[in-house]
Amino acid sequence: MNSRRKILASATTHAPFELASQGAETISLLAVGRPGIFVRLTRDWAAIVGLSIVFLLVGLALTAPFLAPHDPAAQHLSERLQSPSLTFPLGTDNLGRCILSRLLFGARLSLGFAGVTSLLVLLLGVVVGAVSGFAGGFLDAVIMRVVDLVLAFPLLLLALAITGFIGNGIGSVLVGVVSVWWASYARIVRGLVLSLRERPFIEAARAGGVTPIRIITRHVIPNVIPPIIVLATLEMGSLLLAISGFNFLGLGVQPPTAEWGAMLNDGRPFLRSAPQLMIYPGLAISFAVMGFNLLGDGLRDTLDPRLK
Amino acid sequence: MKRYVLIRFLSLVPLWLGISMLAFLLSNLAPGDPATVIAHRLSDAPPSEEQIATLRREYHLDDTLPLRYARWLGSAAQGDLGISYRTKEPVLMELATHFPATLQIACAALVIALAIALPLGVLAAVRRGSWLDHAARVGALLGASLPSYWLGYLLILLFALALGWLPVAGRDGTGAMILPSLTLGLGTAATLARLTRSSLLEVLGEDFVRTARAKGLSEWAVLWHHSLKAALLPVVTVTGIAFGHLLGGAVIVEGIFAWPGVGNLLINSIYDRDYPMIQGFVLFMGAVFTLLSTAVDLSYAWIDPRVRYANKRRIGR
Amino acid sequence: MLEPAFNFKQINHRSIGRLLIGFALCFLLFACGGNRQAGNEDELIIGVRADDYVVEPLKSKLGMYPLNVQICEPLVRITPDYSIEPLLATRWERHGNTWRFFLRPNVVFSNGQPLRSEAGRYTFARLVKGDRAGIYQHTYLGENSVSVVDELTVDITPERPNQHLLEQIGHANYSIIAPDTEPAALPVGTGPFKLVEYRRGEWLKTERNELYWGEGPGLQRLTFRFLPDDTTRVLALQAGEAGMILDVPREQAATLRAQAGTYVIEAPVGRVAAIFLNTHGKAPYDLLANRNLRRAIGSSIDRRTLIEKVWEGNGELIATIGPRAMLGDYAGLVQGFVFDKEQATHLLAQEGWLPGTDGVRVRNGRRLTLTMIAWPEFDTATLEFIQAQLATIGIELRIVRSPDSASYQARIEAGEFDLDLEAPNQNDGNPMFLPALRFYSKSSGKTVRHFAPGGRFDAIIEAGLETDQRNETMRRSAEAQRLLVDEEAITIPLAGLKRIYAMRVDLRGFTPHPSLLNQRWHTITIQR
Repeated sequence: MNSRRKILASATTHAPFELASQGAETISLLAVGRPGIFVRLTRDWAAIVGLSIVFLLVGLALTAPFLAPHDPAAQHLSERLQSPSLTFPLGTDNLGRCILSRLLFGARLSLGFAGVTSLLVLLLGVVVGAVSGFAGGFLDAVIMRVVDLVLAFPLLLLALAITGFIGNGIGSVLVGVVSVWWASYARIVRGLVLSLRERPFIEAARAGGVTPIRIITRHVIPNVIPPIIVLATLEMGSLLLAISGFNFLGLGVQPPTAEWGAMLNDGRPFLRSAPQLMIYPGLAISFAVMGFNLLGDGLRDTLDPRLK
Repeated sequence: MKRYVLIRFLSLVPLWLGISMLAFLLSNLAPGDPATVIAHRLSDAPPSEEQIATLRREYHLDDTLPLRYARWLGSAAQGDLGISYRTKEPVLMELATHFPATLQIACAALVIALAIALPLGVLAAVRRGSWLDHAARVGALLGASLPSYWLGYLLILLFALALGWLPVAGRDGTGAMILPSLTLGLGTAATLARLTRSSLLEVLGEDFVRTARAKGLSEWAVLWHHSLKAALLPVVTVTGIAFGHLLGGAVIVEGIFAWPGVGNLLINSIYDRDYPMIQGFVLFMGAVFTLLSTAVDLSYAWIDPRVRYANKRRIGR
Repeated sequence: MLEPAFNFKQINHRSIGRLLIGFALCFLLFACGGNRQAGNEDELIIGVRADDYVVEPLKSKLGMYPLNVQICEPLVRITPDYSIEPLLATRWERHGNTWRFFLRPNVVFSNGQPLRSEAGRYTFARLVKGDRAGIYQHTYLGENSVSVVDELTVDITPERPNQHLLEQIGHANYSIIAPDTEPAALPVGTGPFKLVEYRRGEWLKTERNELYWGEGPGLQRLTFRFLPDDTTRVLALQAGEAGMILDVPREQAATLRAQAGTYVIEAPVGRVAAIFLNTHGKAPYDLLANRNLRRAIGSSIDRRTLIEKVWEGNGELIATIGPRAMLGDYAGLVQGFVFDKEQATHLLAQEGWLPGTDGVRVRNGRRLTLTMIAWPEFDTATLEFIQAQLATIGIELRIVRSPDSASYQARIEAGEFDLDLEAPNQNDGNPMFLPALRFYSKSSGKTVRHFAPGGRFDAIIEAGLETDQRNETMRRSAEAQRLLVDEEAITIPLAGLKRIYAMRVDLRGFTPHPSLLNQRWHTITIQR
C-alpha cells in the first residue's frame, strides 16, 4: 500500500490532467491474469452501453459510403440551412451540404484520428515507460527528464512547426499530438512497472536468469496492457476534443473534408442563426466521448476486484 | 525535506535548457519569420526585400542558429529574457503583467471545480448505484465531452444575454472573471468528480475501513477520519496537475472572453513568431510545472505520513 | 464484503443546502460588482477586433494605424469617393517636385501647442527616422524632404519625382503629431478626440478634445474595446456592453438586422476579394502560365451565387481589383468575367485538358490539380465554394489553409501556390497604389515576381506614375486593370467587400467610409 501511494505520486506528476486522473484509478488494476473478463463485463450496464455505442459508431464510420444519402462535399446552394427533411435527414449546412452525410464521413476521420493517435501514443508510451520503469537508475532519470520536457511544452508551437515541414493538415496535427501525448502514458506505465517490479513472479524470473528484455516483453508489458487499454479508451474523448481545439486555431483538416471538429468550428459563426450546425457535430462528439468513457469505466470496474 | 525541495529545483536547470533549446529550434522551424510579420504590421504596402532585410538585421535574425541561441542563453542566465519583438517590452515584464490575470481565473476555476467535484464525488461514492451516482457520472461525462468554446458561448448566452447578470468579456469589474472561470472550472470539475468517486470507492473497500467499522466507529468517523483523507491523495495530485494546466493559459477560453492572460500572450507570440516571448513563456511554464509538482508531492507527504518515509528512501537511493 | 450502510440523509441534505446557499451568495456578490459601461449618456463603447498597434518608439502610430481614432489628423482627407479634401492644410501648390502646403490657422494641439510648420517638419522627420526599414519607400520621402517656409507653410520635396504625394499623405500614417511628442508614450494631435487611457489588448479610451478647431464630436467619451473573437463581439452588442461593433461576420449580419434595438450598416466597397494567379510559378505550380487556363477559371466561378447564397447578399459584383470610385469615370473600361461554364470547358478542351475517369481533367498523364492559398481571414465556406465551382469544370482544387499570417506570407513568398485569394486594402487616394505595388515588375514588393505581366503593363504603370493629372492617373489605372483582368486574367476579382457595422438604434450620424482607416467617429451622436 505504501509503495502504491508512492507510485501514485511519481506516476501522476506532470501527466496531462485527464490521463493522470485515470492513471490514479487504474493503479489497482494490476491484477494478474483474470479469466472471463468479457463475461464479467457484460454484467456492468455502463460497459454494455459503452460497448454498444462504440460498436455503433465504428460501424457507422465503416459503412458511411453506403449509408450516407449524399456526397458530403456536394453543395446544394438553393437549399442552404434547411431543417431536417426526407432528402436531408438532419438538414443542410450553410453551403447546402447534407449534415448527416458529413457526420457519417466525418466519423471516419474523427474516430480514425483518435484511434490511430491512441495506438501510436500507446506504443511509444508503453515501450518507453516500461524500459524506464524497469531499468531504473540513471536511464530512468534521464528518460523522465525528457518526459518532463515534452509535457511542459506548448503543443501549438510544436504543431505549427510541424506544418512547416509537412504542411498544414490532419497529418501534422497527428504528428504533433503524438509527439507530446506519449509522454504522459510513459509516466503512467513507468509507475505501473515500478510497482510490478516488486512482485514475486518478476523477482523469480530475474533470479532465474531471464534477460531483462525478455522479462519486459513476456511479463511486464502483458500485465501493463489491461490498465493501459482502460486509459486509452478514456483518453479518446480528449483526443476528439483536441482536434476540435486545433481546428479552432486554424490547424488540421483542409476543406472540404468533413470532420466533426472542423464542422463544430465552421458552425461557430452560426451560433445564434443556425445553432444546429454546431449542435449536431457537438452531439456526435459528446456521444463518442461518452461511449468511450463508459466502456473504459466498465472495463475498469470489471477488472478491479475491489469494487465488487 | 529542504534537501528534497532543493534537488527538485536544481533539476529545473536541465529542464530549462532542454525546453528552451526545443522551443528555439521549433520557433525557427515554423514557416514565416518575425521580420515579415513586423513589416506587414507597419504599413499597408507589401514589404520589399530590402525592408525585410533591414528588419532582419535589426533583430539579428541572420546570425546562425547556435549563435543566436547562445546569445539568448547568455543573457537569460543573467536574468534578462530579452525584448519582445512584437511589443518591444521586456519579456519578463510581459509575463509578469499577464500572469496575474491567468492566475486569477485558474484559481477561481480550481475553487469552482473542487466545490462541485468533491461533494458530488463523495456523494456518488457513498450512494453507489443510486440515481444520484448515475446522474453524477452522466453529468461528469457531459462536462468532460463539451468543447470549451461551446461551453463558453453557452454560458455567455445564458448569464450575459438572457439573464444579464455578468459581462460578456474583458477584465473590468469584479464579475468579469466568473464566466471564464466557470467555463474552465466545469470541465475540470467533471474529471475531478469522477476521480473523487472512484478513489473514495476504492478506499472504502479497503481492509482498514472494514476494521474501523468492525471496531464500532460511527459512519461519520469512518468516512471523514479514515477514508476521505486517504482518498484525497490522488485527487490532490491531479488537482495540482490541473492547476498547472490552467496556469499554462487556457488559450481558447482566454480568446473567447478577451481575457488578457498568459494564454492569449502565448498565442499571439506564436502567431507573430515572437521568438524571445516564446522562449520566455516556455521557461516560465517549465518553472510553473516544477513548482506545482513539488508542492503537490510535498502536500502528499503531509497528508499521508507513510509517503514521507518513501520520499526519504527515494532520495537516499 | 459488507456493503456500507450509510445513513447520511440528514448530513447529505444539510451539506447540499449549505453548498447551494454558498453558491448563491457568491453569485449575488459578484453580480452586484459587474461593471456595465454602456448606459451612460454621451459615452459610446465600440467593439473592434484585435489590438494591432505598434508601441515601439519612433515606429508607433498609436491611435492612428491600423485603427484611426481621430486623435491625430493628416494634412489632407480622403473622402468616401476617394477624392482629396483639405484638412490640416487648407490649400496646396505644386512647383515641380515640391509640394507647398498652407496650414490651417488657429489650430491647437490637444496639449495647447499651436499648429505650426515645425509640427509638420517634426512629424515627417520622425517618420523617416523611424522608418529604417523603408516602409514609406513609395513616397520617396527623405530626412530633409520637409522644410519650413514660414509659420504656416511647409514644403515637401520627395527625393525622387513623386506625382502622387498628395494622395499618399492623406493616409493616417502621415498624421501630424505635436512637436517633441512620442505617440508610443502619448499621441498628441489636433483631432476631435484625445487619448485618455490605452491598455494594450483591452481598450483605448478617448474623450472629446475641447480645443478642436472644427465642429466638436457629439460624444463626450469614446472607448474602443478590443474583442478579437467575432462571436463575442456580436454578443457584446446584444448584451448592451458595446453600443457599436465593427466587422460583423456576414453570417451574423442577418440576425442583427432582424433584431429590434440594433441596426446594421454596410460601408461602400473598400476592398475587393480577388484571386491572384501565379503566372510565373515553378513546377508543380507552373500550370497557370497558360492564359486560356486562367481564363477558364475566371469564367467558371458563379460570383452572383457566391454573393447571394454563400455571403447572404453581403458583397457587390465588381470587375476591378479596387473600389470603383478609385477609377472615376474610367471604371467601365474593365469588363470583368462572365460566368460561362461552356466557355470555360471549351477553353480547357482547347488546351488539351480532357475529362478523366474521376471527373478531374487530364493532359499527358498529368492531372489538372491546382493549389489555392488564402488570407487567414477568409472563411472556409468561400474557399469551399470556389473549390466546388472549379470541380464542375474538372479542376481539382487543393486548399491549403494557413493557421496564421506568418505561414501565409511564407507560402506566398516562396511561390508555393497556384491561386491566392486575398483582399488588399486601399487606404490612400492614389489610384495607382494597387496595380503598381502588386503587379509592376519594378516595384519592390516581394510577391510581385509571381504576378507581374511586364511589358505593356509596365509601360501603362509608368505613364500613370509620371502624370500629375488625377484623371489621367485614373485612366491609366483602369487600363492597367483591364490588362490584368480582361486580357491576361492574371487576377480574378470575385466581389467587393463591404465592412459591416452594427449599432444600437439610438446612434445617429454615422457615415461609413469604404476605408476603415479614414472612418470618422466624431459625427456620431446619441439620440435621446
